Amino acid sequence: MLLRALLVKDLRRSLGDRNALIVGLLLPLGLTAVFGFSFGGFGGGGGGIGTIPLAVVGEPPAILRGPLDEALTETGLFEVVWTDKQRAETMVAAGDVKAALLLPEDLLDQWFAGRRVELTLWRDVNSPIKAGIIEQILQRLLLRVRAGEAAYYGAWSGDWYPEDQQDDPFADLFADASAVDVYRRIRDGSSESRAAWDLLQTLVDHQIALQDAWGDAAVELRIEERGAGQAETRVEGPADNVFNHFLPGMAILFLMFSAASAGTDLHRERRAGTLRRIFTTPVGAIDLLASKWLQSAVAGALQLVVLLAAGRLLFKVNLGPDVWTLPLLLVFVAAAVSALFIPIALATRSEKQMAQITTGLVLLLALLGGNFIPLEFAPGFLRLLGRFTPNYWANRGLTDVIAYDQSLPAVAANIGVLGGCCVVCLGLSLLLLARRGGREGLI
Amino acid sequence: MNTRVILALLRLHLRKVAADRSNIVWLLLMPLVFSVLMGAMFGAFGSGRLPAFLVYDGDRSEASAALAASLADTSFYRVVIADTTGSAAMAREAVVDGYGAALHIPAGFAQAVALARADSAAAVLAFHYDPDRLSAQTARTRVEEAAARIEALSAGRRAGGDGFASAAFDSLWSEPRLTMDVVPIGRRVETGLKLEHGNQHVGPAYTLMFVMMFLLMSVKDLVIERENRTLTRLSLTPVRPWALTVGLFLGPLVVGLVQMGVLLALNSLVLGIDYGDSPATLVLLGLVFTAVFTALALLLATLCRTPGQADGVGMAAGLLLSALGGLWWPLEIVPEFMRRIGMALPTGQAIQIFHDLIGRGHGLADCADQLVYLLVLVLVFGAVAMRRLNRLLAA
Repeated sequence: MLLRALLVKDLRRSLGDRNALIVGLLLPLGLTAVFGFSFGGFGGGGGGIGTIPLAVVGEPPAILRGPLDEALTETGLFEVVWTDKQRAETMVAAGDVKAALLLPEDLLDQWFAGRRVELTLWRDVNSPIKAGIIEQILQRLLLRVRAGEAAYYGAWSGDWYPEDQQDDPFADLFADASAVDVYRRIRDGSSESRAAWDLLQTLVDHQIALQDAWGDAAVELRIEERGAGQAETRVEGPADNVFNHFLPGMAILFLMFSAASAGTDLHRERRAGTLRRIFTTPVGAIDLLASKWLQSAVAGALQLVVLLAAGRLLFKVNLGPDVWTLPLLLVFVAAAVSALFIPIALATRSEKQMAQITTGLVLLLALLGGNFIPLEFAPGFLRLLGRFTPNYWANRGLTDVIAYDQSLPAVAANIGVLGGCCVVCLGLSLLLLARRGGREGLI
Repeated sequence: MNTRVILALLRLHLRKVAADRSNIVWLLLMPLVFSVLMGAMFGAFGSGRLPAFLVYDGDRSEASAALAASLADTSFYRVVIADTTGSAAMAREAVVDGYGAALHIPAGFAQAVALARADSAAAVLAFHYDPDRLSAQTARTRVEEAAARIEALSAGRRAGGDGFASAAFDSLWSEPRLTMDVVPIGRRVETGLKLEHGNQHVGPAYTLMFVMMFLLMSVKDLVIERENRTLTRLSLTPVRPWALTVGLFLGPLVVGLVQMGVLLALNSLVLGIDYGDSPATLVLLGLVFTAVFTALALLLATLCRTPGQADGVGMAAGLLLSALGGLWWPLEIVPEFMRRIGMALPTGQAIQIFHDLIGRGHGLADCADQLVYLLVLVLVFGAVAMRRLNRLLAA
């Protein structure tokens, strides 16, 4: 009866604190929105890093410029700007474009003269991701030329091959000539012109033969971008909504702040003298601690429920495959997180000390337990360390249910660890209480 | 008289901060812990876990194993060979579920490659990827390269018949005539110190974040002074209100500057961060950034009624400004509208200046616009805070 009275009193007070409600409810929702919008979620889809500005420097002939323009823009990733070298350097240095592709002067002449041709890509040093994507796409464009040339000269290694410093067998045939002139030179011309014409025919025949062989290649690579063609073949699941991945982390983070604040209540009551007043009644020290823990757990569970309900309305977050998995998990999460701060309240001397230690601890736990960044991205030692934090098990459990629609058996281990953590923390609280001398020690 | 009061208020604030030893946790310890741990997360020490590129090997042959092996060993992703033989649909699902890239090698791959005849069916490699990820784009390049080699080899063999010259093929494949030289444009090119190293972003970002957080958390102190009526008592002395405002402004400003200076120096020593060639810009940035948040903290202190409210507002402002302004992740990776929002905030401007100093070697002239923007914010927040504080003192 007394325990219930204490619980109701504390609950009323905590739920009446508007500032705490703002921090506990609005801030996690706001941060979830920021995370979601930053990483491509708007009601479950969209986003992306957008088009990437790319400068191209050079004056290639129309026969090359057209296909190059087409190849660059067909990806849909580039915003191509043709400019001069000086301007391109300024733009890359200022970050106005993420990279600049420099085509050498007389590119085609060099190529057909058998020289090696080197394109240059200037990358913005401050843009590792976007400039890196540009580099990869351009490397793939060059790959087509590389594969074609290797296949051709593998098949007909005896064919004329343009090598540096060697005579061009077509020089006499094509020099300063129109199509009519070339025809006349072949019809009426020298044996050199006829030989050149024969060689040209062979080369073209071989090109056509290679083209045909390519059509019957041993492998075919089919490439599909994420999301393409899914509408017909795939039903969208909870994992597609990025908010399902971010809300659990933020909810647990702010649950820890709320539970820490509830633990601080013990110091507040001592400072205000209400603890002394309570202990004039038959309430025992264990009753008081139990009421503090229960109040924190109930308020925490309510906070999670309201957060997830708001998440459902605002971000369409998933609430699990059935009606019992999520509620059961929330109870254990709230109980474990609340229990974590009771021993800290008993081990600290003042409200200020408690507040400073718990704020630091919460941020550290959040970092290690994967509330800010999923631990999959962390190095091995951090992933291992994360497993020793209760919020890791809470995060994983909630994410499994909300983002991956898992039911009770899948999160049974999480519930077990959270339950164990709760028991250990409460046991530790009792030990600390006994060490402080019970009621007298609390006052 | 006014100068003495200003100095007295400054001394008082410094003493209060120094007297509380636990402040050291927030001023120095937490920023360093966060810088080191987040640096590790972003791969500052080369130990961050690379994104996975999932390969379903449906053929389980030497040829398919060789193909998978040719995709490995990059600094952008790690190849994970799935336990099951999988399917193209499963590769697609894997990418939808969060893998950057997934490849399915079908059964019969080795046979198709070995026969390489027009009458044999082609083995269809199914590659699915997320084009917004650099790791996935790199995986696509490696897959295309591997597939192109097989295609070129088989097409060349089929076209050339018995006369196919493997040596000529290999020579042109390994030393192609058309190549691309990639040159990073920026200050750190020659030393390799560019923004690709996680700590170049994380170090300055967490310095900015914790300087801002400490200043915003000090809102509560001023609200408590209002509650305790010590401000009212001060207003009864023959001191001009502006002098009180300046005194209240200078205390947190000096603490913030010392915190920033120490953190930047420690980042440089511990994480090896080089802040560029313009110390003047660095100093000015530190000064203006700290001033923006000192002024904002003063303004919030005049708006909050209770210490609890001040706590909540300080934390909310600090976390939201950090997340939106690109202190938790670079603004390069967010959609354009989020980048614009971020760049409108003082946090976004400040981290951009750091990036420009470190990577591009910018100086005062290059960063002038951003610094002026921050200065305008100081003046606006400062003017409104002073006006409100004067009104409060007069009341």
